[in-house]
Amino acid sequence: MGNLFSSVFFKLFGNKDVRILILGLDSAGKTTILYKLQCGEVLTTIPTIGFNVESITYKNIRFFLWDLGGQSAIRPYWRCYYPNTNAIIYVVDSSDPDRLGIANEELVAMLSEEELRTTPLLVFANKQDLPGALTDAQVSEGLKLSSLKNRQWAICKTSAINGVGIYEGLDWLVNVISSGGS
Amino acid sequence: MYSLLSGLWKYLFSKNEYFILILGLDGAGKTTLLEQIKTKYTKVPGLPPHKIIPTVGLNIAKTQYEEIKLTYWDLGGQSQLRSIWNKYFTDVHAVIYVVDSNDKERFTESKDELESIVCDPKLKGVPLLLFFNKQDLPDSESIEFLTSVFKSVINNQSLSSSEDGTTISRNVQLQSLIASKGEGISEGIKWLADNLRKNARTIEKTDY
Repeated sequence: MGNLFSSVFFKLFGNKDVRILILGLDSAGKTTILYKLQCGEVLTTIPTIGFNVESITYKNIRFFLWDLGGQSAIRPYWRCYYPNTNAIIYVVDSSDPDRLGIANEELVAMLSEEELRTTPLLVFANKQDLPGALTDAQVSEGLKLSSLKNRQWAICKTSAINGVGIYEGLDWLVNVISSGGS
Repeated sequence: MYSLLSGLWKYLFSKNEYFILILGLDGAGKTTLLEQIKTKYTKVPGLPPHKIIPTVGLNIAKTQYEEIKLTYWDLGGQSQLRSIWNKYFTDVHAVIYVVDSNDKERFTESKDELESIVCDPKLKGVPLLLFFNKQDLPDSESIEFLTSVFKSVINNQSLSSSEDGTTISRNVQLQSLIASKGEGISEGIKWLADNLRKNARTIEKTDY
């Protein structure tokens, strides 16, 4: 009974809590994006070993953002964080075409996990401020996003340094989550 | 034993699931249509039109229409995103094409895109539902006019023969639509569902 009331109360007044993983290769800009969202500033970050977690409230949704280290040695630990994830933000360094193939492999491996079978995917084509950065179309081609059929996905051009595109991506996430998620 | 039974179960019931691709130029109202379909046919209401942002990627709606399952894929329509449309062609049972009836300058562009869709061998024989959207706007062209504009694509297409010499035939339906108010959706979807029940192609399932 208490359960029922609390769920009604929650529906009426509560902020929705969602759990988001921020993943990507090392030095893609995951931590910079996290802190740009959290405090609106560009902080000097060091390579993440382990994880950073922050919560931000945006449009009545409380996002728990988990930023996991992206170095190859610690990528196997990503899977420990997969259960109960509402959405994935995958960050790609658009100025590094050489590693787009690896980024694709890691993405495919991750998305083939049962726990993430229908989890919506948001791709940030990051570092757009750098000269020679790939466009969103090129990044989506490189990541073979068009082969995704069972999940909602979107791609955004972002620049974590300038803050460009990040909130557009979050708007999409809000849309997807408020219309029932997967 | 279990796998035998589950296989039988799948054989009996999984046929009733169909995939539908929603295409059209940017700003035609594809996502608005998708959200209204969610409102009409699922328990979760879709987003109101003013909250919809341009799609870059894929939106999905899974619905139950009477006894069949319909899954809609709504792809972004901006010109640089159109190159991925054909990646989805082999996996769909039907195509919905949305036209903005108010966007007179781009009728030709829209017609050209539709032409490349209907001429694609991967979509041979797939039913096509053509929605003329935004019929509530005062400057919108009438259905009669739009039919005359787009008829050439559809007619040419059904006459032109494919590589192996057989003529392609497909069922086409033209339907007026006000996606923001949901008018015209049920007529269109009913036509689509009737068509799919009668005659839908079989698709090898790929699971991603």
